[in-house]
Amino acid sequence: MVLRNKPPNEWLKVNVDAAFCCQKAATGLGMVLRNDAGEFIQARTLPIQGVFEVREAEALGVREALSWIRGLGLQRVVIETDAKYIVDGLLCPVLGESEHQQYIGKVKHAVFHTQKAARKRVVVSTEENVVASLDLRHGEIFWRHVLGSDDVIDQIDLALGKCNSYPVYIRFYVITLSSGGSVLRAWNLPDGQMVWESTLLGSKASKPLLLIPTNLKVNRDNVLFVYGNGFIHAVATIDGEVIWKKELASEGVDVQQLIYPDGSDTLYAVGLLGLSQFDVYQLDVKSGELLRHYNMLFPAGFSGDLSFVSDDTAVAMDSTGTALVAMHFQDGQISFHQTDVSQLIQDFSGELYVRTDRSNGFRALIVMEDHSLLLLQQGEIVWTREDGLASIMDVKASELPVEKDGVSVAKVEHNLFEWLKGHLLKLKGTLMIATPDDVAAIQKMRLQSSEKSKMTRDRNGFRKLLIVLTRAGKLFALHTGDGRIDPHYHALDENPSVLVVGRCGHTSDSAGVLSIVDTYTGEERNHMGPVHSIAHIIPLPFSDSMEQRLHLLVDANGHAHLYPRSAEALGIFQRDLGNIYWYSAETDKNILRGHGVRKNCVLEVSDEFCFDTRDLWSIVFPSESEKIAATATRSLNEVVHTQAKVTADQEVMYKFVSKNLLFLATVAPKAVGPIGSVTPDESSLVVYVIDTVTGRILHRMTHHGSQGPVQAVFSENWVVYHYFNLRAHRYEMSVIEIYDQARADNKEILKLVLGTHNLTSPITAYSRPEVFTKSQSYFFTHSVKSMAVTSTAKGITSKQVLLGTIGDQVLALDKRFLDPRRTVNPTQAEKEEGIIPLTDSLPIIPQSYATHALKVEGLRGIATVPSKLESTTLVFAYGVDLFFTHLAPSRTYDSLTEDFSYALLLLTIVALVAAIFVTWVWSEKKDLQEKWR
Amino acid sequence: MATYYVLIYLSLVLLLLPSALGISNGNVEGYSINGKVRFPAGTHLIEVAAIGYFFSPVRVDVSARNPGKVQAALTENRRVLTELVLEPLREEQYYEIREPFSPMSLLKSPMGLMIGFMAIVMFLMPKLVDAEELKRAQEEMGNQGVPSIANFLAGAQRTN
Repeated sequence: MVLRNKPPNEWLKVNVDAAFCCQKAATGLGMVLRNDAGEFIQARTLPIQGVFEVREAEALGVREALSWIRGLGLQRVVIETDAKYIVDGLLCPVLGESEHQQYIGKVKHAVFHTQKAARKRVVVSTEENVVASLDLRHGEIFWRHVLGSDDVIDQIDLALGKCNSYPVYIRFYVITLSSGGSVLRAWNLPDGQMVWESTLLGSKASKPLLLIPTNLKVNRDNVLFVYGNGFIHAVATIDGEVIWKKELASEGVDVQQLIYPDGSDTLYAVGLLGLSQFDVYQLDVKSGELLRHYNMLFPAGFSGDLSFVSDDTAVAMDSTGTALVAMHFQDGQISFHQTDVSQLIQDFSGELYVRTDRSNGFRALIVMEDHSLLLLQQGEIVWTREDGLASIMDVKASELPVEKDGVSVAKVEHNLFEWLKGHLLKLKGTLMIATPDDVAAIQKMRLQSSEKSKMTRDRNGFRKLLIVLTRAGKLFALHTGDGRIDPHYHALDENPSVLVVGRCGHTSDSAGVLSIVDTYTGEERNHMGPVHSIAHIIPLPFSDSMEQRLHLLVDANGHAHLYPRSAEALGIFQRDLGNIYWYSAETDKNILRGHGVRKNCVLEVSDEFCFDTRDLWSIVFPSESEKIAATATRSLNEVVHTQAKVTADQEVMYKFVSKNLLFLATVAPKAVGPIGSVTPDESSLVVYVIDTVTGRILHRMTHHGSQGPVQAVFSENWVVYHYFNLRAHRYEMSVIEIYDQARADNKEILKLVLGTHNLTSPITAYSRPEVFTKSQSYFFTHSVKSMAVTSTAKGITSKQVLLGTIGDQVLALDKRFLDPRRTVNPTQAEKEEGIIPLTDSLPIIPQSYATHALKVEGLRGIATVPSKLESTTLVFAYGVDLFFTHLAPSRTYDSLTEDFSYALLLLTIVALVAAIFVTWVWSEKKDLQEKWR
Repeated sequence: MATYYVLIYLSLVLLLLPSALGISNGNVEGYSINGKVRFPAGTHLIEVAAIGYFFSPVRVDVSARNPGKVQAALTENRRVLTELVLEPLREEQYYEIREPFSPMSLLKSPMGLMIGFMAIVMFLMPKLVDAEELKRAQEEMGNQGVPSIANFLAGAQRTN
């Protein structure tokens, strides 16, 4: 029942309601116009053909009411309806979340929903395990759900759910079959809420099949048929109850299709037994009783799957691939027809995925090779979606070109006026006297003034190009200003470029492909390949005069190839030949190896860019007790600002900062499986900190009763890692900080300058480092999908550890919580230093979610890029969605906040000047009085 | 051990939330708001992810020896659950609430403090010095008179 409120004085009011008749598929709209006293003025009814969703009908009603009012020439009218969502939908402000983009991934199934009356949609499921409903007109997402990675969607279809006249119901459900045919779910089509879920159990894995007959009722319920795990199930679409089930796999028949001829009482299940027997089962749709089972042997054998032409004809290739066999099955009879097809083209390329909808002209949803999605209608592209961005594999940041000088005077004047106007508005905003129009103007101005979309470098270094590589092999440039995808053209002398490395096959010794791509134009500058195989890519800490970083690509034979292939690069490389080291972790063999470069390799064709490598050291982990689970190193371009840490009691601790440190975690081989599969006594986690030049183990620690998955991040002189503690049955995070013992006695300035480990003495990785470590562990509530650390330009700002949580949010956890010097009762001096009292678990403060209330569906990775402003770091999180934001771990101490009111500052100055003059006049008057006295 | 399963009816208190349910053993991850979930014997951890709410992970022990015996407890506060109803521990507020405008905040700003201090110096300080003392001071200073802003400004003009 709806409360009909009285309208304000002199206002009129329209009440709108909709009524449905499910059987006749018609909707009626009724509207009443009344004045503020509640007196009836006029009424109108309107029949509409077709059945709508409640929301849609109410929205139509509001639209009709608006046009009716306009026709009557009325102005002050309140519209009232009982569909709350409409009211919310009309009033809800649209937030400009330009930094959050939603994608779905490469589409693998699609179902159109193009009922005449309802909103046109297409329901898709994708390789990123997303089920989504898209607007057929614009390609926008109505709703979507990301299923777990081990709950792969096998089939989707639409089914008629509830249909009721009062209260109004006509519901279409999206049915998804996942997990190899064992989980069946129904989602409400208009809003995507899950309606029911059913688990279908079975004995053995089989091809999952889903069949939804358009008009079949068993006991007054609509039914759908599922074949999965060897069983055929009849399920009621309304609530997911299993009506009957029947096992078919007991004889080993591989069922390939379910067929239900419209209007009949029989369901056919057609499949193959082995490679040569064709089987047909006939079942009663009402009870699941097996009516008939007949088969026929095809001695030549089939190859591959059956394809179905009609309700009683299937086609397959024979085992030699030279003949096409058509099978007819009707009334218990099977007949084969062979056609010679040797002249047919063997390889049909599956680049395009076309699904047509017969009812409405020609409409095709096309998935391109780069995973983008486009809708073709009558030969025209209606919309496109760049869904390749749902599968980003790697991210690199690139600077934008410098802005050219020269701004016209007119522009400055215009800007000045706009600037003053803007600040007046802002002042109004702060004083809370702004009208809604003003607020809108402020918002608009903020969006404009940020000049986000400029293709030039900005003063703060916030505008960058993010070069992302997707799984489809497409390279995108994302502009961080507004997140648009636009490889814009800009002519400069030397544009930065990225090196893209690919592989032609799936094995590690297949040939590689190299490509150098201009980051501004998106053009490929140089393409090499197929070349040698690529096993490791080692970016070297050198760059040539063109600012191209040198890379060493190691092939499967242990030869290292230098890129770029120029004489200059070779010169730089040869100068530092003896100082190049790298490591490789062979997870399957449980070996960690260190490598160096020896000399040019000897090949049939001489190649001066090819070098022989040598093994320097190796660490073999005992395979019965340890298995490599995770490794982490410092980011190459990380900057460390201070070498030392001064504690509150005037002690100095020197950080052990080395580029060559590796964090490695191993778990017991039994504990490689999921959580709960081992007892605490059987499992342990061992962590190492290893110098990769000498292979020396600097630190080793065992966490008994713990297991993976391990996520780790290495920064400056500390490692933070996340794992599972089986004894407490909670997730845990630990921190290890590494300090230099050798320099620990440099407490006076004199020693610092002249002592053995003074500032000028060279540091070599070969000297035995004397280090000491501090470590501490804490409980953490959530599991972590990905981990990163903030990075700033100079490394002065304190760090935050970024955690991708199970809820696909990014939590920014202050490093101060992960400080091994925390104690339960810190002294006053320690408190002043900023040490937080120790608690057993890390706090999750909701305000510290970098994503706030947004979700980065299917979160896979987080990348951080320093901006020029020391306080600010740019964070890019990617998964099925993309999310970009600015983070200031120690607040924005080096710039004014966005809502700083310059106008208030100006006003204060004016007030002060005025006060000076007033007091001057005043004191002069007083002076005069004094003199007259 | 892995062949034995228990079907547990899970119900989430917030029915209308699009929630993800992750069960640590990897058998079922995805959506299950009110539904049967298959648990093999062993220990499991259920995590609920729902925007706007904080859920504690739930530890579920399915006994292998006594079929049907299931124990569940919240890991955050060790509370034992008698039935598997997943309730949020608390709501989460992701945004900091902007402080409403108040005259005090204007006064507390650096500019407000500046004006306030100036006002104190101008109006309160002369009141602190009583008239007699002032007179004595003036006499001591001779006939130079009270140093005032007017004199000061005039002096400044003269030097120009």
